[in-house]
Amino acid sequence: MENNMTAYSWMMAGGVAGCAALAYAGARKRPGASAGKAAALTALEILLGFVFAALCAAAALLLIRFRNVEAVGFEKFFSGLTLEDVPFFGAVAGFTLGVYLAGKCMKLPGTDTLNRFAAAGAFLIAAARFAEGFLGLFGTGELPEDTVLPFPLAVAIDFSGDGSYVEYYLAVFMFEGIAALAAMVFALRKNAEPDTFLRTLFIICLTQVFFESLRTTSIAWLFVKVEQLACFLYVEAVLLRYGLKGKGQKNRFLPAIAGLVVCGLIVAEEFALDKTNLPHWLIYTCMAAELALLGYLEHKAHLRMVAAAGEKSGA
Amino acid sequence: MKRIAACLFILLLLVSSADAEGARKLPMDLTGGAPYKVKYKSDLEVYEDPTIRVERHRVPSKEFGCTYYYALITVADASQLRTLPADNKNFLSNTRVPVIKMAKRVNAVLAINGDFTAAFSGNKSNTFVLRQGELYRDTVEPGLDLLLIDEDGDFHIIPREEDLEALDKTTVDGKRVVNAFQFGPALIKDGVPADDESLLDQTHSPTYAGPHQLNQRMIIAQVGPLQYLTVCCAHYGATLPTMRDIVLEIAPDCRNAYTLDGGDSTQMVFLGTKINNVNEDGGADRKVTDIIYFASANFEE
Repeated sequence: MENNMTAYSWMMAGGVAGCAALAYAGARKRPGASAGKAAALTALEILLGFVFAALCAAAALLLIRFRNVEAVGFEKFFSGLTLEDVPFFGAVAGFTLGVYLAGKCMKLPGTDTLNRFAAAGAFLIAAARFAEGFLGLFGTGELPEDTVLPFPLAVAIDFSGDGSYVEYYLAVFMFEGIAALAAMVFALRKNAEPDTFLRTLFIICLTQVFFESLRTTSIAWLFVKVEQLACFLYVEAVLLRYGLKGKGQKNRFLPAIAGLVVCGLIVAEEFALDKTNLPHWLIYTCMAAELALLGYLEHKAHLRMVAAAGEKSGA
Repeated sequence: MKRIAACLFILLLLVSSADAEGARKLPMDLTGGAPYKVKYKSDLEVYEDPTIRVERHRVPSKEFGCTYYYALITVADASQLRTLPADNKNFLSNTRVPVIKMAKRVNAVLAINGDFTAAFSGNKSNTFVLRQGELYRDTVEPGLDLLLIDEDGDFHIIPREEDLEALDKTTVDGKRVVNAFQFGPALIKDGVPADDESLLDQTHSPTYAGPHQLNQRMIIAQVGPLQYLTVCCAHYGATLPTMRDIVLEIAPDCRNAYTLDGGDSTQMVFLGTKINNVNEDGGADRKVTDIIYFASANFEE
């Protein structure tokens, strides 16, 4: 059950190459963008993206594991880290910052740069998730005992080394990768409209709230899965933004309020998963339905905002 | 007299070599033990082969106000008392799986939850982690007792009052420490039971352990050379003083007893089947980070 780091590295390299290609295509669509300028922007986005992703992931980990860092020392703590210690939300936040700054360095509007990069970013996330399939249990989820499912639903992990004892785990990394690919398709279809980046990340975070719950490996503080919490905070922030921007609209804070209610329900569901004998499929069905409702509310709120903006410009 | 002594010595050697036939010392790594030879049955109370004997019991007790489960374990070699992380690689991993899965991977005759090594919260963030001879984290939580298990399988409890940070925790009495735990508190140290006041002091327990509350708890104890006891109570729980009294009821001469993780983490697995809280509303099997287990070393076909 050793990690296949060679395959992981190839998959990540492919992800970076695909991301660069999509970012370049996005940059080229900007009116008046030359091939050279688009290539320079792409290179800068990738470079700054990775630099800031590393910095922000480290900063996020520092916050989560502050007591450890204090006790062990900065150098020893960071030298002992493995891939599974990297907070995904920290890396994504850092990459976002890097891309924004790359746009600014090239004297381009930051939000527009992000909107044009949305599909590329989603592709990179998808590749990173698929690559987790080479890291043993890392991207997998618990299955009921003696459940055997075929790939891509599940993966068989050989703990004996000779195939005499295998355990089946849910291939959560595949679901996460597919969700990120769906977000990429969404971003490509939106063609760098305003809020494309915001909404693409919304899709990734909304689905990750669900997928993080399934994972066997997750950075946790007591029983709170840190990634799940961070993703939910982003989702709630987006929903709240619709409320704040929709002045004069009826029920403009409804999505944000629904977000808080769903947050409470998910806390209760996580508690039920840990403490009760309620069937897990039932709990996860409820969780998926609640998150789908939030997705629907976000979509409606966005349509309302676009309509309001159209009316304003028409007036 | 000398001849008798020599004969006795030879006889002792023969007996010990006969005991070891088909058995071997298990390696100091994360691999498992020999496959056990029988299948679990609900009425099977004893598992025995030339290298291990496990006897398990369920006791509904009016005296202690709870049902408790215990197992008495005798092994031929200290290497049969082993530990395993959830991801089979790293005791500081963020991976969590139920005890039963880990137990099956390593052919554990009896497995229990460990001390939740990778619980990065409260005063569990910096506990000392040394497992299967490898040091994973060289920090300590000053308020929590330490349990060190040496290469001969003997328990040594280092009380929180000592300077845990400065102390050498990798050797004890000249012997190598192969497994160390920091949860606690110790219920019995060197044959002396801890008093109620000390046990009920929240500062001596990990955050959220609630020593005065009726919680499920897992205890590991040494009752003799290569003889161990694991005890847990049913889901409606017991306080720490009650757990101490249960240990003393089962093994009045117990030398060292130590508290491990509890609550819904409390899982005792015998021959691949969870045996605590069976037919009781005890909730789902919580995913935990590590286990302690006893394995057979009898590789004879």
